[in-house]
Amino acid sequence: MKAANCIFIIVLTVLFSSSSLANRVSTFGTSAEIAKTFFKAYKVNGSKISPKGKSIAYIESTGKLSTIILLDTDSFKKYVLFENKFNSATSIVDYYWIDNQNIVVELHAAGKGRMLMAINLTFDSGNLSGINHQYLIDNVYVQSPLPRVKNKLLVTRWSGGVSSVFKIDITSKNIQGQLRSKLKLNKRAPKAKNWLTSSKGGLILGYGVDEDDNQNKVWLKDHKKNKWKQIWQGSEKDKFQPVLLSKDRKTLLVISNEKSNYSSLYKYDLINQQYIEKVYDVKNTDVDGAIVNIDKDEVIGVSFIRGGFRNYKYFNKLERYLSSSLNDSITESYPYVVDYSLDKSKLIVQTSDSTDPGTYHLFDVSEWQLIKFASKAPWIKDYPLEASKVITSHSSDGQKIESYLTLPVNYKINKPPLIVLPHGGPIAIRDTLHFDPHVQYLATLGYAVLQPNYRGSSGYGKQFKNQGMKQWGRLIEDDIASAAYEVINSGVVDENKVCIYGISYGGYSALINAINRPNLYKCAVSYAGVTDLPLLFNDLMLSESPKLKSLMKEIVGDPQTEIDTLIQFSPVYQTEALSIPVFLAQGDDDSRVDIEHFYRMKKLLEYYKKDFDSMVLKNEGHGFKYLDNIVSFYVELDSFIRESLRMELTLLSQLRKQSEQGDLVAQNELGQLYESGKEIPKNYVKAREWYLKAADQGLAEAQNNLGLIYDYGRGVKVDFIKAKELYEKAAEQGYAVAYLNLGYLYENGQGVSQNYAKAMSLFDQAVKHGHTSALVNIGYFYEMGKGVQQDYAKAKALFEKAISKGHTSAWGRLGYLYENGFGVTKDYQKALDCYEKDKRDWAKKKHASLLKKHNAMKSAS
Amino acid sequence: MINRPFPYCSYFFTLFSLLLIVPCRAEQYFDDLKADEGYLVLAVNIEGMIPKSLKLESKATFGRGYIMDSLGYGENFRVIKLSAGEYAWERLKINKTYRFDLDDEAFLVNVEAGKINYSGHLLVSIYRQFETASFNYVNRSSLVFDELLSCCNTLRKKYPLVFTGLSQDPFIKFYSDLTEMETK
Repeated sequence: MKAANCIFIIVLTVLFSSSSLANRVSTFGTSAEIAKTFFKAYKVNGSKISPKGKSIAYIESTGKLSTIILLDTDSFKKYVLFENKFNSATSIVDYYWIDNQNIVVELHAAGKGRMLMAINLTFDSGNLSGINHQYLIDNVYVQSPLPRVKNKLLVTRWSGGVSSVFKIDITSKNIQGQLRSKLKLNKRAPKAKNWLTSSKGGLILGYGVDEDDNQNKVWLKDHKKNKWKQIWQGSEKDKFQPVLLSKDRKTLLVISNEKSNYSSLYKYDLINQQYIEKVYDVKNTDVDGAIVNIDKDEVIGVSFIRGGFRNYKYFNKLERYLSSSLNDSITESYPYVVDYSLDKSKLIVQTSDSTDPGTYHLFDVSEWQLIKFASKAPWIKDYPLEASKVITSHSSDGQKIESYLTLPVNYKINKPPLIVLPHGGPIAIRDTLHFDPHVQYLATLGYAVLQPNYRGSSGYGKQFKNQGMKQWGRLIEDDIASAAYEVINSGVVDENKVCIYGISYGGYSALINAINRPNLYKCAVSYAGVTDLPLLFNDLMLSESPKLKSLMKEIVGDPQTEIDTLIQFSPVYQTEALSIPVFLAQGDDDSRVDIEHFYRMKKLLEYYKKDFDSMVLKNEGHGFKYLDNIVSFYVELDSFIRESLRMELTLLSQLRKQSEQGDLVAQNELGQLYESGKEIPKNYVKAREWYLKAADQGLAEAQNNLGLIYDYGRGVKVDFIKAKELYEKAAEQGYAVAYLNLGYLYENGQGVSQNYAKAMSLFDQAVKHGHTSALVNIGYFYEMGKGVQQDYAKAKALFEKAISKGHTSAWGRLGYLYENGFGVTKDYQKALDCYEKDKRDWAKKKHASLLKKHNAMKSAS
Repeated sequence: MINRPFPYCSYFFTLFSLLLIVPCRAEQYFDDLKADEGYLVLAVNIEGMIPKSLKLESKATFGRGYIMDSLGYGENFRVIKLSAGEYAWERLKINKTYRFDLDDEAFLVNVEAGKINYSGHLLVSIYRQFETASFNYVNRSSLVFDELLSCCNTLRKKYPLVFTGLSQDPFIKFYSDLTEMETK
């Protein structure tokens, strides 16, 4: 590295450390630091036990690597089975134990889709002795891992909305050949989307919505005649989810809500086509899943969400374990069995609650022993978190609404501001009381967070779900407001500091409430929010699927017949009425809510000159994938809300407030804050925006900083000519650093013809205007004979003068003179001493190399 | 949607009605439209690698249409004059060896006479590694406003901008009325 470049880095460092304000909002660090902790990838996920229970596998993430780990259940020794770089073309989707020696991994590659890879394990005396990876096949999904059948699994290939099911042997040399059409298991079957299979991999029953008539249908295979027969048909609005066929094939266990408001587990008579009995139900709650044993001959439990937590009710000995010893051992959170060995002697038990993302335990039945082996996010325990609680309110039409409230730990000392956080959807999605990083992060920053399960949410019966249809901006928002008022009236939060923030539908809700309820909400934040309801129908997927289009019309409204209503409840068309500040954010790779929703809203906010801020997150889809993006977003969100609610300001919000009021120095400092990435995540686009504002109004420092942005191509293409213009403007005002930067352009011939004399003159101007570090540059020119007669004595004098002014980079140059005997007597010790005083990497390397040379010479002599 | 490539068989593709091609950015001169003609805003966003060309073909008359070439990364805008009628994006040509055929029922382009027509942005992602491509068709008319303002404001004042894509879109009229850009 040339000395000149080293000096340049020091200049930048000085510029960026000019601020003395702190961005601290809690004792746990800045909002950015806390966000990095709460949103980093879970350390452990997806724990599954091998059929015999000898091994546990799980996915471990470091943020840079995703790794499949094998854990021996006796010795707890760990082995790495497969590593995948986080930002590589492929990502791990899931994995399955095929048998005790084989795991099949589902991977996803952008531009390719799904692919399967096998990991073959070799054990020697019970210890893992070999790992072999084998690519299997593209474009298939695992339908069933068939743990009872060695080396085989069922896979599904989708094409044009039609599924084809195949049984493949992973040890075969010709995997692709096993997907020939004549080997398709559903060759003569109806166009079912879902299948029930036997433990050996035979197709028993198919079910799903028939797109020809939009009817929900179930077909049963007659094995003797090898023919399929339709055994049930009903409305697609009713649930009829087959779970298990009886051995005599006369009855079917189904989860259904055809006969009642709530989904329950029923026994259904296939001969007489009627329900025989209700096997299991939960009062005022939908049963949402059934657990079938590995042999596929018994339903061993059901699942549902009650009181905000997921519950599993087992019908066999698992329930005894859970209700007795496990509950006694695990008192802090909710335990449930996530996997078990074929003989049920070893179970993986996961616990979680509103403050714990999840902890995995191994329960050894024979030893009656519970051993914790991994936590999803052990670092969360460093934060004191309040448990979330259930809030019940009644909406404008009397409808009961369940919501969850999470308070910051200090809520008893100061009434916290409230963030209302409606979930996405709006239909058949819900929030729970289980740990949510978004909620607990905001609570850690000092906000109370409210999550309403408004009408349309799942789990509360089909009537409640259907009540949410076509209620965008209407009764759904009344539900959300009822929950907010319930919390406000309880006196636990500051009623004058209430904001609404949401993602997707939640983002829509934030915007429409910002327009319609300014008395309740004082600011709104929308991420990936729908802003224009008719625009939802300009979608290729809808045009290709009449079923999807019909469903969308039911959920949102029909643009053919209800266009006026859709316009009335679209934030874009109602922007004029907005009277509170809005923060609008969007990922630029969102295929669900296209960025056009963001563009339109921004256009209208600009047109009406509303108080708003906006942000586009690069490469982000409908949600958050990249840690840097989510941290940047939340730092902006926190700053925006603090400013909107006139709370104690962070450095960012303070600078932004001053900048928006036209303070040029603050605008420049804000640009520096974004460019440095020290207190908040780096954002060159915003840095450039703020520098430009101040530079356009003549602030020399901002002109120089904007010049650096173009000089170094930070978030823009390198443009030396633009950089030169900006440096010149700053220099004209006597801004010393600009002379130095301009000098570099002439020294290196960037955007100008190379001209050492001109560069020297500019460095000299920098010194004269007080930037004495340019003495090192001038000295370097004398040392190298650049544009002047080489003069080591002059160079030495200039370096010494720079040192006297405190510029440590001159030490390195002086060391170089002593090392080589340029203008001085060669003196390695002096050279070493000089290099040591220069903090740059270049000097450190010189020091190390000279030391080595020096020592070698000493030992040789 | 991912289509597998297949070997390209070359054949002559004749252009009948292409009279004027205008890349955006600088204000351009535009001919007046004849009774059966309309202007069409072509908007294509390219990611991954740059294809050689994209073919827009008339649904009614074989060989009538437009080949969009000289493409670049990111947004590609053109304003062209075409006979009124229904067209579709038919083919993406990567090079002499590979091409992708598009589902012509999905990527429709309608041209109404006497108007500036916009049917949507074609989003193209080409994955060189796997020799695959994905296509999407989205309405980004807010960007079209900006582009027309920079390249074709005179044209914009002469003819109304309409969305002729997958579903009705009240935004163009709403924003035009608001900004009083629609003068005719």
